[in-house]
Amino acid sequence: MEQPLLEIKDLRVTFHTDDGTVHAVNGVSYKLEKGEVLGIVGESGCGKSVHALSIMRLISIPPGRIDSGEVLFYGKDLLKLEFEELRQVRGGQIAMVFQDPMTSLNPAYTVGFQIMEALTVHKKLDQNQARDRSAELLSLVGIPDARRRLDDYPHQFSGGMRQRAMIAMALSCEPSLLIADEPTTALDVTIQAQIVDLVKRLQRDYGMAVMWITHDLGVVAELAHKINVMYAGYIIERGHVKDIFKRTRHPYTLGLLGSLPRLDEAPGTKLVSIPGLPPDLVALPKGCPFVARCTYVTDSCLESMPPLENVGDRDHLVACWNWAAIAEGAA
Amino acid sequence: MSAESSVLVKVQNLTKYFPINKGILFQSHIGDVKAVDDVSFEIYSGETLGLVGETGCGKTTVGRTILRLYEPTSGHVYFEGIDLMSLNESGMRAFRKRMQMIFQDPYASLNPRMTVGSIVAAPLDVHGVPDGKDKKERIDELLDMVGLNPDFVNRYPHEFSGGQRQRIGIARALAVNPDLIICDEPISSLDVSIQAQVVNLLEELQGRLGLTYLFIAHDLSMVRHISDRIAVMYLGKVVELADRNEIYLRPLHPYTQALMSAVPVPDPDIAETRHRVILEGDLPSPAHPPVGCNFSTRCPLAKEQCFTADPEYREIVPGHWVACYFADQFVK
Amino acid sequence: MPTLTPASIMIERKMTKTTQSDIATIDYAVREHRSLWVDAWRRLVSSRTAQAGLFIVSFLILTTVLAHFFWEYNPKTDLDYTLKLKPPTLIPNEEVPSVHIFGTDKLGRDIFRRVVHGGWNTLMVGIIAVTISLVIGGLLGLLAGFFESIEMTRLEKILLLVFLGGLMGFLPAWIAEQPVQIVLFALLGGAAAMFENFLAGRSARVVLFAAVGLLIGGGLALFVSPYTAIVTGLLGGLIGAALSLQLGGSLFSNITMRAMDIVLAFPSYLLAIAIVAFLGTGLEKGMVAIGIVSIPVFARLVRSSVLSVVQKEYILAAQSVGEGHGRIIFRHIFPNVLSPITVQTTLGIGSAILAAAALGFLGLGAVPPEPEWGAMLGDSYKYLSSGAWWAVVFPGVAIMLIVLGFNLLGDGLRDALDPKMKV
Repeated sequence: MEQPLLEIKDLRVTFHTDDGTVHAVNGVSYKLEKGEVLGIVGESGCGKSVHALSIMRLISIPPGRIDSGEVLFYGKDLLKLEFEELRQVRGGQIAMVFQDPMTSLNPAYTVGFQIMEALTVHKKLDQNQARDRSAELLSLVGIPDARRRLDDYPHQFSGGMRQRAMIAMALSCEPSLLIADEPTTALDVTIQAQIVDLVKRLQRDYGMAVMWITHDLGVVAELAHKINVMYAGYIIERGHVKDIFKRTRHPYTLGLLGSLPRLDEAPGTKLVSIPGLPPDLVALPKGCPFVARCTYVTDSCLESMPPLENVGDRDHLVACWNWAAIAEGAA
Repeated sequence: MSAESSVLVKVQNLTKYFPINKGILFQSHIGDVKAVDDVSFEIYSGETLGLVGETGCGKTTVGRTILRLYEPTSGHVYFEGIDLMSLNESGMRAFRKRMQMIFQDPYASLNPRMTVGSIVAAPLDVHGVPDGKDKKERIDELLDMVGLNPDFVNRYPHEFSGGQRQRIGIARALAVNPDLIICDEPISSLDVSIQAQVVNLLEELQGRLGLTYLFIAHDLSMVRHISDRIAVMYLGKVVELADRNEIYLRPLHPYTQALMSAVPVPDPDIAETRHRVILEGDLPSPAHPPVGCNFSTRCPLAKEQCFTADPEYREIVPGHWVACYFADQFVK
Repeated sequence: MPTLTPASIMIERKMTKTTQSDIATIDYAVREHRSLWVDAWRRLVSSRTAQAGLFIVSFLILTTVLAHFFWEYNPKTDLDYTLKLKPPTLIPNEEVPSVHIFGTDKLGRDIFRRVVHGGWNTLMVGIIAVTISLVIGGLLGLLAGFFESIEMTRLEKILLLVFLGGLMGFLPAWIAEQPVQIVLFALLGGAAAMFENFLAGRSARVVLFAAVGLLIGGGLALFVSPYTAIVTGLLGGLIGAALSLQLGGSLFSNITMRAMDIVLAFPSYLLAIAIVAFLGTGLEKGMVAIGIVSIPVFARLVRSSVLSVVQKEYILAAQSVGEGHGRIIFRHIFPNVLSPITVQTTLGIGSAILAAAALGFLGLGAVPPEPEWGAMLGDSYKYLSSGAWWAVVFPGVAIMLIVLGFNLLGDGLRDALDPKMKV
């Protein structure tokens, strides 16, 4: 089998605060193939962003600490790289786009300067070449009159345009992996549709892999090939997009889907809400972290965390003791 | 809601411009942000009217102006036939009791220095406890009603999670038995699983207490879930208003159509097959709205007349209002 | 969408059932129960910086207060030329028959005693000067910040204009020596606010009110002298015109803050010296001067804090409930701007003490022989060259210690009251 683009093995991240040790990521393992779009779904505090930042070693240490794990990118462990080598990977082969388009561009420099900087650092282009390439990239992400807008400052761009500029910057070095951390959360739906459409097109044309982190199941349904659902620092369900949506096996994923209203729902439909709150990451329960909110609790759930088990014929993993019963009920 | 229900609130030609001033000491008026521009609609007693639109479309301003938290530039708001804009501050107080608000940000809308009990009691202190009950008893009752343990009265907001805080906000709004609650994006800062809890609570309370909601949000699918009728706003104007099913099955305004198709559907089968209208460009600034129809700069249907004159907001079929020259072609 | 009815696949459940209506029972508060103030106090006492500050400040305050009340000292009679400028003496000997642990000064006074008693004056200056600037600056900042964002009610507008009319009327009243003018101008301000729609045309209004102002200013002053009448009449006209403009919230804020900018434009020590020179020397005058100089610091701080709190949704929530402005200010705004004010007050006491010491050093503070640390320095630095280091070092160290103490405490408070506020 071909070597995967990215393989994460048993990643564990903690934060050491005054209130105790926050267990943010608790043993996450998965593979990401070349050219694959992976959606990472979960609510705030589930560890989805922390795990992505840890891949690039971007979490602040202290209070954060990567306790164990390997992040193999083309077979090289990013967690063990020298800082200089890591710098080549950051922005070169792996690029990131963040949630807040208002603060992720530096307001003191023009948009063009910021895109050109990446090109001159990683690609060793001279000023003129970098400028040409930047204009090309900006028009690629759908900013009209790109060459002139290079000299604009971020505040002259709207939120959607800034996020496009961020994507242009991320694309500048033709990365093989784009990590997008809630890139459309701060944007309106019509602008979100534009950005999703753009990323889909770019992904197809360039064949890059995308890791799309979001709390919005609707967006990943449109975009992703595979999905990891995270809860309290664990991956609790992972599989192809259709398996996740059509053959859901984890009660949390079921609850998430049930709590979303749909445009085509019948009148009078009641939302299925998940009762209670996510667990305190400082004091995780011994068993399954979802136990207090789950409707399918058995003894074993209180005893230990279920391992990720393959429940289908094509890489559909679920961490639940009772997935078989749930499958039976769904059938 | 059925057509025979009575009109609780009637908003007529409501306009709110925020002046843009220049100068350090003596300021001169150099322009206006046209946040709300000639908006009219009615809210029937007992219904939920959804108000959707994107950032900066003026939906929040409409809600606040109805409560007279902002003084309107012109226009009227009738509450049971009484023009609120003609009332002075003391006349308005009697009506404030009947209209309450739930806010977007559960972190910013509760005073961090006040206990849950005193936050919920604030309306009671101003307007008195309804039905002559004991104040403490009423607070317990309210907390119980929104699913919070009444033992928490002496706790502070920072001890609660976002969803619980939003429940405190709801308890405050319910305190003086209002008729109308303006919900200003009450769920958009909550996690998905908590959103459903809060929406279910709001629906349950409406059924139990006979409340009327003006539900403001940008999330079209949630608005469709909770509302009886939906008004869509774009750049300070209501562009379409209709029954929830009507607007979903037969959207007549090109903006509504685009908005509807932009909402991501959590179903990969539908996502694969459906046709999406992707709008070009960004929202124009409400300080310099386009000449003619506000949507003309992004509209896929725009013709010459759209750039010169504003289309009339008209009732194209009974109960379905729209402001577009070309709406007729979609009525089939 | 997979619709699962839990009943169909209900597995034997050992846990409590979590149905919709049970949310209340499993809904637990996630954090330990304690108020933000208790939280802040805990953070304060657990920080080394604050501990040191707290220790120094409370030690100095304690000794000073005890000395003031239980250790009699009369500076007027305390002098002994035979013991002039003696070094610190712990064991009495022939030359120095009494104990002077800090030595003596040029008049043979015990420096230890004077340092301990001088602390009282120093602390007084710090506290009273800061109180002056806190009350005046805080009030101005509060009103400016509040009314910049929230529209004034009619009553508030009337009160504000009565106040401003009276304030401006102070000048002609002083010139003509007719206090009644203050009242009349205050009434004129009230009238301007009360009949706000009277004579809607702006220029007509200005002319009318200017004429009334001229009459009040000039007419009454005619009893004094025609020359005075001309001056006060002109002033009155200006005041009338200004009042007719009906100061709105943002204009009021603008004028106040620009006035604060003007005060800030002067070097603060120079301004304090000028004020003392104008008022005359003395400890009380020094307090007033230092207080006035730091009014803008508090006004700007309070205004900006109020502005940021006023933007919060809970203020909107209070308005939507129908709470009045007074209630909003006291229940919602005041507790939330208290943290930065507390920090600034603590730091302000330190710098006021320093300023008072500087004034004392220049001979503009406490009147001799009253003990005050700055003045003690000023008296003794001449003898440094002749080797009498103790006369300078001990009061100097005392100043340094107390200022350091307040600064450490202020920094500790800033961390403890964390403006970002943990959520």
